[in-house]
Amino acid sequence: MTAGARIGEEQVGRLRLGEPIPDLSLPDQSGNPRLLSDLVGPDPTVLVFYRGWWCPKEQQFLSRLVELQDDAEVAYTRFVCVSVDPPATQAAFRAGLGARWIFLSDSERRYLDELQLREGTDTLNHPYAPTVALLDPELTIRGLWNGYWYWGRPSTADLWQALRQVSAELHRDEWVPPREPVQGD
Amino acid sequence: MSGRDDHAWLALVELRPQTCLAAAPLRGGGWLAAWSADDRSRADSAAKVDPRAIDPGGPSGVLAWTRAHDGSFLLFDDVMVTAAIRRAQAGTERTPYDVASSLLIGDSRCVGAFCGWLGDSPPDPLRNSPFAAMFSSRLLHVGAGLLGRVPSRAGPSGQRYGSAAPWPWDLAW
Repeated sequence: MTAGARIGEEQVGRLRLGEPIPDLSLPDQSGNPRLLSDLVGPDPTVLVFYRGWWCPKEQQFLSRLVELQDDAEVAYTRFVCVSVDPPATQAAFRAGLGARWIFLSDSERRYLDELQLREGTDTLNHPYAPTVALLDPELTIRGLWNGYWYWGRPSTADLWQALRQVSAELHRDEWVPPREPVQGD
Repeated sequence: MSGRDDHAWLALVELRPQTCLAAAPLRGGGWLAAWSADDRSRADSAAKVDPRAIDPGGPSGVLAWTRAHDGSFLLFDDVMVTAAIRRAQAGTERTPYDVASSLLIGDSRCVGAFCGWLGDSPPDPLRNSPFAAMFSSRLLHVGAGLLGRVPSRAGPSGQRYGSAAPWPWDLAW
């Protein structure tokens, strides 16, 4: 168990607050093999498991995330989405949303049961249950939201507050700006 | 985090350099050559490039090559650069690119960028380049032995202040 911010639900499926998420190895929306640990940077990462392109709730939630991406861009924050959609479908969905982050395809449902995130009520698509995790650079889960019911998901305000809290921890030594001039380039 | 260098060097040159990391002939004459981060023998005109764009075992490809005239540059966070990078990350042009990178001098001067595709000629790559508005652009048909594949940046974050690394490098700072 790692110390630090603990925001949201204690556990969703096999994901637990304060514990690391497995280093997912999946193709991105272009079919390139990617490791989650390569996508997570030195600042917090918002990881979103979503059902698929067909779900109006996902369309709405991800549209809201697109509204946040200009803030995330200048704050060095990364987003990663995971679904069972194949890469080509994700690429089209991503382009339609105007998203500038990576979508990972688990069309083979490699991690669905390992993470215990299979949505049992959808026996047609066998998708991920909507889940949002806020990760630190070590892949430790600092925030966790169960989005099966739509209001269980984090609002933009929830995410902003969680990102502020985790960022302040990660940058504890530099959160307050220096008062003396520092060497520039 | 990767311990890999966050950049290599890349330049258009007339002749194949005697020492370099990789080089490939251009259709119509000249060479595109790359040097490792610490190679002082690089051409004076060389600019920093994402190191994943360089693969000595890579295939031929076609690049939409955008490069400032000598002495000209845009700051890396100039709105033209930022807008082009946003378009590139969104992948709204013919996608996906196989290879792309900004071209950086020092910590903060953007002197160009390129994007392209490996293998056979794609249709109209210059029109599809998000970087073409920054500086003058041309099409480069690059022989085998230089170009690698650069996956999309994690995003939506673009370039980090103080990183001094070319976009889309995002593995370490």
